[in-house]
Amino acid sequence: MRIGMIRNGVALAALMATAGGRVVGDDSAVPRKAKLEFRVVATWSKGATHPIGSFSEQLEEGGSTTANMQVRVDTPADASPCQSSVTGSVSPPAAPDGPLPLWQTEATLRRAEMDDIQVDYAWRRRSPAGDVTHRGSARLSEDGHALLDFVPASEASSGCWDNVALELSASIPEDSAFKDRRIAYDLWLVSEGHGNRLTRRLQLMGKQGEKVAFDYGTFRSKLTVGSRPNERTSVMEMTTTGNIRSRIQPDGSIEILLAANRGAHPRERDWYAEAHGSKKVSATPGETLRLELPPPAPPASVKEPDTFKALAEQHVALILTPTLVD
Amino acid sequence: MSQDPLEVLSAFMDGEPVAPDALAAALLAPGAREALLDFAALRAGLAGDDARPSPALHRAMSGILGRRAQPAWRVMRRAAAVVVLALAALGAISLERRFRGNPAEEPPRPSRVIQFTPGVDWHEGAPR
Repeated sequence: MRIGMIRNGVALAALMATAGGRVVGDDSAVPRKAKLEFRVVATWSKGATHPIGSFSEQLEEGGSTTANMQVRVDTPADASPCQSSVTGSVSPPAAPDGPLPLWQTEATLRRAEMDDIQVDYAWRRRSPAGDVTHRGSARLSEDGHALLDFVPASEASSGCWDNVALELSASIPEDSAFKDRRIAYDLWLVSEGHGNRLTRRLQLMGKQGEKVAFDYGTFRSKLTVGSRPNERTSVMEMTTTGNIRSRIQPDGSIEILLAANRGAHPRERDWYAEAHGSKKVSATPGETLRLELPPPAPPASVKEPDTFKALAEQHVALILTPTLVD
Repeated sequence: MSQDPLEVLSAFMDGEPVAPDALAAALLAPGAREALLDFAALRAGLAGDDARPSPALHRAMSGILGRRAQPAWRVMRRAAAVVVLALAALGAISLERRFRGNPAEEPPRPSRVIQFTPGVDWHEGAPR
């Protein structure tokens, strides 16, 4: 694969010598899978950061993989532009080739659930300056990534790059039978208490596995704070935001991950309290679910028990009906 | 036992005696203002109805009934009364729908209620 990058009249080559992935899977009846990707990114001098090569493999839970990635610099004699190339080879290099690192990586997939992928990893960076090793664990959201290693490289890259780095990312591969299906969400917000009731409705749609955000904006509620005879009314500005990701399952059900955030801010004062959470549920298409969102707790610096008691009496819920789009 | 706000407002509009407390509560009920406006519009519609048969209808009926115009006019008045009653019934249905809430403005009834558990899957602060 060849990726052309125009910069400063220098040609660079990032050689990624990758050993074929070694996979050791477990024997669970319905193994969950995730795609792990080790990626080398480079930051151009006075420019942006781009991936210059990667190694990825789809694993089942319990499976592991290894990779060897050599980043190599080719300094051209002429004033040709910066370029990078990525090549793979089966056997790992015996020693680093050039001043840029040779990364030897391994990873084991511990968990592959929706938006929750756990990986144990280890890497060894080999370079003329010496070897560095590290072992750790990462808990990644889907399409999230973790920076594993970082190497300043301006001198070694003849001014073309400022640095190179190693990243790990993860994603859930989509079932080919469902990957183009869409799921519609009829999502209601219901806020009720203190004699008032407010409803707002959002109608959303997302592809299989796609994260869809929602935001109901700011809505105001009058809270009765305190007890007689010192009772008073406080106007509370409240927000509810979040996102939904779901996948159609082979048995026809929908696996849903809903994340929500509930915030509150009194109009007359300057504090803001919020709380958040996520819930994974399985539903049949067309089923209606009500998710109660607990109130936020007071920030440490706020001593207003009556206000938070009134806030707790204001019930906020999301009512969700997922359906399949033909 | 509290009275239906619609019945209280309807009785008030009809000039029937209504307890002040019940009227005050009915006026605070959701949709009370719209209901009062609908009652008033219905009453005005009934009072202001001056529908009369057209000259063409008079001629046609005269042809059928000869000189017995008076009985034909009575028939038309009865027909007009039926129309007014039908309109009133439609108005009442509209009012009932207004009081019970438009189905499109209320969420569907859930089959399951799911609770977040603070400290387990619900946490203070912003998501990381």
